[in-house]
Amino acid sequence: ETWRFGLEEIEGSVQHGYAEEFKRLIEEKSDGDVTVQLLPYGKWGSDYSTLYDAIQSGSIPIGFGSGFLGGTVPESQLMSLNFVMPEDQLETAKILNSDAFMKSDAWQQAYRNRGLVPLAALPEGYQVWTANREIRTPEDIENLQIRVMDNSLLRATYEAYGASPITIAYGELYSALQQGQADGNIQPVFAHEEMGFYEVQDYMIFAKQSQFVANLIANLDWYEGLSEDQQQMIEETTDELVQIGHDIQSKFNEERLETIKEKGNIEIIELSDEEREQFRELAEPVRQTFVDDVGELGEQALNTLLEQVESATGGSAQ
Amino acid sequence: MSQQQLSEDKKTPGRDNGFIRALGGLNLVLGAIEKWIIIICVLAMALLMSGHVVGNLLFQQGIPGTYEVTEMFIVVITFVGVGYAARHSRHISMTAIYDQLSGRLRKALLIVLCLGTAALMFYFAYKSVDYVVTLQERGRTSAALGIPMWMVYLALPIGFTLAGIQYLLTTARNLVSQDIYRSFTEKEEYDELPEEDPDLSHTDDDNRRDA
Amino acid sequence: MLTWLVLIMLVLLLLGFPMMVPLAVGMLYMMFTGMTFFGPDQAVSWMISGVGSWVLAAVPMFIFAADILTKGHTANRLLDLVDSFTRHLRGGLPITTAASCALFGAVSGSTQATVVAMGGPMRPRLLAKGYSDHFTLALIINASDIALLIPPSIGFIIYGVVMKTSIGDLFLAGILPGLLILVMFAIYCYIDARVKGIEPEPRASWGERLKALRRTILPLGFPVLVVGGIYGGFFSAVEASAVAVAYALLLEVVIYRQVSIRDLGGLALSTGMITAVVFILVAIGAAFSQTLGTAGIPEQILGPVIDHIGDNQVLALSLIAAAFFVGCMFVDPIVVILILVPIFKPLVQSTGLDPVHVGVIVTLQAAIGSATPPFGCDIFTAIAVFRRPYLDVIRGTPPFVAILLLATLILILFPQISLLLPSLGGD
Ligand code: NA
Ligand code: NA
Repeated sequence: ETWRFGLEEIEGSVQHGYAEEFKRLIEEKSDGDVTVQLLPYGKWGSDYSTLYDAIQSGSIPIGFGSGFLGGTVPESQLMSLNFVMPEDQLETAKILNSDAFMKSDAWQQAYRNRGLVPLAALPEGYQVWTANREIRTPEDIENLQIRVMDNSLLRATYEAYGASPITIAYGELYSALQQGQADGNIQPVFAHEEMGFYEVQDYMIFAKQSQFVANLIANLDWYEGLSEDQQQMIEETTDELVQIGHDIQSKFNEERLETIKEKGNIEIIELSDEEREQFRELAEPVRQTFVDDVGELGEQALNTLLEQVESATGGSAQ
Repeated sequence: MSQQQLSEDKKTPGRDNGFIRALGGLNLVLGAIEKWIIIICVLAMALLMSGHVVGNLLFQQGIPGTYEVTEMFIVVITFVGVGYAARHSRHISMTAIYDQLSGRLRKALLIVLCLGTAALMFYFAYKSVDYVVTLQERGRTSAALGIPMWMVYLALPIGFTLAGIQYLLTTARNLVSQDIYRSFTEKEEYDELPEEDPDLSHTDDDNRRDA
Repeated sequence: MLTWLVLIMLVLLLLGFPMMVPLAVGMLYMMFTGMTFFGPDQAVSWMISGVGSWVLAAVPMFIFAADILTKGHTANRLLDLVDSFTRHLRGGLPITTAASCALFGAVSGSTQATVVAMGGPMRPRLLAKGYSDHFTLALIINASDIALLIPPSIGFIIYGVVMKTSIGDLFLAGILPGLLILVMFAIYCYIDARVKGIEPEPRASWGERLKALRRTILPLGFPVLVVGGIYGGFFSAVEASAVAVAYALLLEVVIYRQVSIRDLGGLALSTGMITAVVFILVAIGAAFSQTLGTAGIPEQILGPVIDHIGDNQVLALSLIAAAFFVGCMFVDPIVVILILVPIFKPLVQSTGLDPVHVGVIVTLQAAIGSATPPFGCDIFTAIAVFRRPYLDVIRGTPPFVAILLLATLILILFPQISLLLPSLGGD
C-alpha cells in the first residue's frame, strides 16, 4: 500500500529531510509492504488549508501542519506561545514527543475532534527576529512595525512586548522590508535565508522566545484503520526521528546561518538571560489570551506542557 | 453597461405566457439579491483595504483581519458573481463556430450549451454543499477573527445554484419564444459600429462628448 | 487518456461552452479516470484557495479605480494630453492610443481594466478618423498588454509569488521592455498610416499643450502616488490598488464631481461582475492546474524536452517563452503562470538564468497570450465591452502579435533591457 505524505515545504527543506527519513524507516520496517510517497509544497496545491482539507478528507492521510493549522485545530496555536518551551531545542523536541504530552488526552482530543491524530512534533528551529534597529530590551522594540502573520495570538504577543505588529502577505514581504513599510520580521533562520529577507534587514536577534514547530498529523479514520503492527511501526519511527529530526534541523539552520553571515551585512545579536527575562515577563499574560481564545482543551494541553518543561528543566533553564 | 439591456424584454413577441412571467418574477428577486451582495462586497472591500492603509500610515496600526476578510470578500464576489454573470450572459466563451450558425441550428446549440452548463453548475453546487457541511462539522475558523469559514463558503453553493437556475431559465425562454436569448432577459445582438449609427448610445458616450 | 482529455476540452471549447466548462470537465475527467488520486471534494477546496488570496485583491480594486476614472473625466484628460503632443504626427491617433494605454497601465494593474478605460474613449475617435474597426480593436487589445509590463502588474505579482522572487525587482524590470514595445507599436502605427494615406492633423500649439497639461496635473498624480507610495514604503503593491480607488474617488467624486455617490453602486456592480467572470476561471483554472499537476502531465510533456536543454540559457529562455506563448493561446495567462512556473523553476535554477529576467519574458508571453486567439481575456473583455463578434475582434491582431514576438526575441538576446533598472534600483 502507498501512504501519501503532504509537506508544507518544498524539496530540500527541514520537513522534506524529516519526511525522507520517515519514508526510509517505514519502508524498511514494513519490508516493502508500505511505500511512502512524498508530496512537497505545490504538489497538493499552494494554500496550506487545502493540504489540511486533504488530510481531513483522507486523500492525503499524513502531513505536516504548522503555524497555519490554528484555523483547523485552534489548540495547535500552543506551539506559537512565547517563552513556554525550554530554551534548549533538543529538550523541546523530546518533551513535545514524550508520551506525557503527545499522548495526553487534551492534545489527542483537540485533534481527534477535527478528524485528525497528532503523531509527532518537529521543531524546525528558533523563530528569529530581524529588524532595522538593534533590539535587546522591550524599550528597543517599542512601536517597531514588526511583520506577523494575521493571527490574533501572535498579534497579542507582540503587542504585549510593546511592538506594533503589522500584517503583510508573504509574497510582498521582501519589498515591504526593503521599502521600509515594515521594520522587522519573525521567521525561522532558513526562511530568512530562502526568501532573502536578511538582505534588507540590519539586525538578526535570537531571543529564543519560541521555536517553529511542525505537527505531524494523520487522518483519524485512516489511522484507526491501520493494523496494530502498523501503528506500532509509526510510533517507533517517530520516536527514532526525535533525535534525527533535531540533527536535520540544526544542521540545516546552521548552514543557512552561515550563508547569511557570508553573503549578508547583518549583525547577529543573542539576548542575555537578563534581557530574555524582561520579554518573558511581558509574554506571560498572553497565555491567558490563548486559554480564552481556544478553551479548556487548550488550557489542559498548556498545563501539561508546562509541567513537563518544569520537571525536565527544574523550572530554571527555560 | 449591461443593465440597459434589460429593457429589451419589452420587444419579446406575444408568445410569452404566465409560466415565463412567473419565472420572471422569481428571477427579478434573485437578481436583486445577487446584485446587492456584489455591490456591498466590492464597496466594503475597497473601504476596508483603504482603511487598513490609512490606519497603517497614520496610527501605525492597520485593521486586524483585513487580509482574511478581504479574501472572504473575493470568494463571495467570485462565486455569487458567477450567477450574476450568467444572468447577463457575460461568461467568457469562444463563439467563433456559434457565430457562424443561424436560425434553428444556432438555437439548438445554445440550448445544448445552457443545459450542459446548468448540469455542471448544479454538480458543483452539490459538491460545495458537501464541503460546507464538512467544514461546519469540523469547525474551521479564520486565524485573525475566528469567523466560521463555512458561513463564508456558503457563497459557493448559492452562486452555483443561482448560475444553474439562470442557465435553465435561459433554456426555458428559448424554448417558448421565437428569438434567440443569450440569457433569460437579454436578446442576442451586438452593438452597431458607432460611425454607422451615432444615436445608438453606449454608456461611455457621455465621456466621449466631454472631450 | 491524455488525447481524450485534450479532445474533450477542445470540443467543448469550440462548441462555445463558457470557458469554465471545458476546464471543469477536463478536471473531472482526470479525477474520474483515476489519473490523479484527488477527487471532486478537493476541487472545491482548490477553487476557493485559487481565488481566496490577498494578492488577487488588487485585480477588482484596480478595475474599480479604472471604472471610476472612465465614468468620470480622468481618462479623457489623460488622452487629451497625449493627443496634444502626437496629433500632428502621421499615425498620431493610434500612437496616442498605444501611449495612453501604457500610461494607464501605470495606474491600473490589469490589461482588462486598460481595455475598458482607454479603449472606451479612443475607439470612436479612431473610427471617425478612418481607421478600420478591426485595426482599432486589435490596437486597443494589444496596446493594453503593455499594462502587464508597466508596474504595478498582476502578472508580475503572481509570478513573483510562485517563483518567490522580489516583486519590487520585477516591477522595475518591466519598465524598459514595456517602453520598447510601445516604441515598436508606434513605428508600426506610423507605417500603417503612411500606407493607408491617413493625413495627420494640425500641430497643437504650446498653449493647448500647457492647457492639457494643467488639466491632467491631478490625474498624473496617479502614477506618482501609486508607484511612489510603493517604492516609498508607504504601502504594498496590493494595498496600492485600494489607494488607487480612494484617489479615483477623491478626483471624480469630490474634485471634478463627475461621478456621484449614487453612481458607485453601478460601478461596483460592473467591477464585481468583471471580477467574477475572470476569477471563476482563475478558481476553476487553479483546480484544473492542480489536478493536471498531481496527474504529472506537464512533466510528462516538458520533462524530456527540458532534459535536452543542458545549460544553454538562450535555448532555455526560448523554450520557456514558447511554452508560455502556446499555453497562453489556450488558457488564461494567470493560470498558465501558476501551472508552468513551478515546472520551469528547476530549469531556471540549473541554467543560472536570472529569475527576474525570466519573469519579464514570462509576463510578456502572458500579455501576448491575453490578446492572442483563440482564447484571451483581453479579446473577451473587448467582446464584452464593445459588443462586437469574435472574428471582428481578432482579425487585426496578427501584425501586433508579430511585433510582440520580435520584442520577445530582442529581450531574450539582450537581457540587459530587463535587468538594467533592477540593478540600479537594488540595494
Ligand atoms: Na500595470
Ligand atoms: Na490567448
